[in-house]
Amino acid sequence: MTNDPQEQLRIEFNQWARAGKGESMEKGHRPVGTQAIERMRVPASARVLDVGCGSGWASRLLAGSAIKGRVTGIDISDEMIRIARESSMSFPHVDFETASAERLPFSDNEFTHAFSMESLYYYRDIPRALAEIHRVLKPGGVFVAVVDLYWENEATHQWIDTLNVPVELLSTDDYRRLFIDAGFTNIRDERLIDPTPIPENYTGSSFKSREDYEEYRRAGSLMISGER
Amino acid sequence: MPISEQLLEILVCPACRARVEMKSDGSGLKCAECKRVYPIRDDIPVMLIDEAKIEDEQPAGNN
Repeated sequence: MTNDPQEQLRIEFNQWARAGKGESMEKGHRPVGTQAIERMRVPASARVLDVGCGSGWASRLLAGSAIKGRVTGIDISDEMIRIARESSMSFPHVDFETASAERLPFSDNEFTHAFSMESLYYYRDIPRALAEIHRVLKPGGVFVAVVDLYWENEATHQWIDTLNVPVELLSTDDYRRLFIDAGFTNIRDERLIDPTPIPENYTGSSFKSREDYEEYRRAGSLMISGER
Repeated sequence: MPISEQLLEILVCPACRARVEMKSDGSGLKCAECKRVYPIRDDIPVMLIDEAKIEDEQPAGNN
């Protein structure tokens, strides 16, 4: 067992990759991720960074908009990145590499858009990751992040004890303040609702009961966006 | 499928942000400044500082 937080995340998400969780995460996150990506209004020529891309489903979705641009996905889990790459062979303008959000391997002013789905609260140093994302965006560039685990969505707090890695439980105001401190402007927050019906006989592992699942859905996912 | 030219163009060393160059044997990306070499595994660059090894290829005894 390592004490290095980054290595802990890598080991955990490599296990998720081997367990096929990339697919279930896509299924769970896609309905809200699609709404967030629509709000980004990604133009054809965009250069997009997908931070914490996992199996790469959002990178491929973004690539559908940035048809004359380029999408780069990074993740701390090399096994997730392998899956992302193998699943994206038909997208010549999408690249993936293993990297840390807190130390992005890109020059300043490289991207016009950045996206992050259900990833921010795993970082040990969120201010540093946000400063890095801000740094690699061009002036006027847009960052859109979505989190399901946040203070106002109480049903998601039960995940804190079931996850094998530490997470940051932050409120909407906390996130807004972090975005401001990282230098972002025009910060907006919005709740995105997943309209997918919940099965009557819910037996999933994410929530203790169907009621908790419903409560989570009512609160919605928190989308925060800012501009460089 | 090898690593795309476009990706190589935008990658920098996460430690010092200098340019990285493909090693002649294709096994890694080497930082021009700090000499860290980032491994390439299954055609995927691993741009993690903890995974990099500092490689100084200057032969000794050059004085």
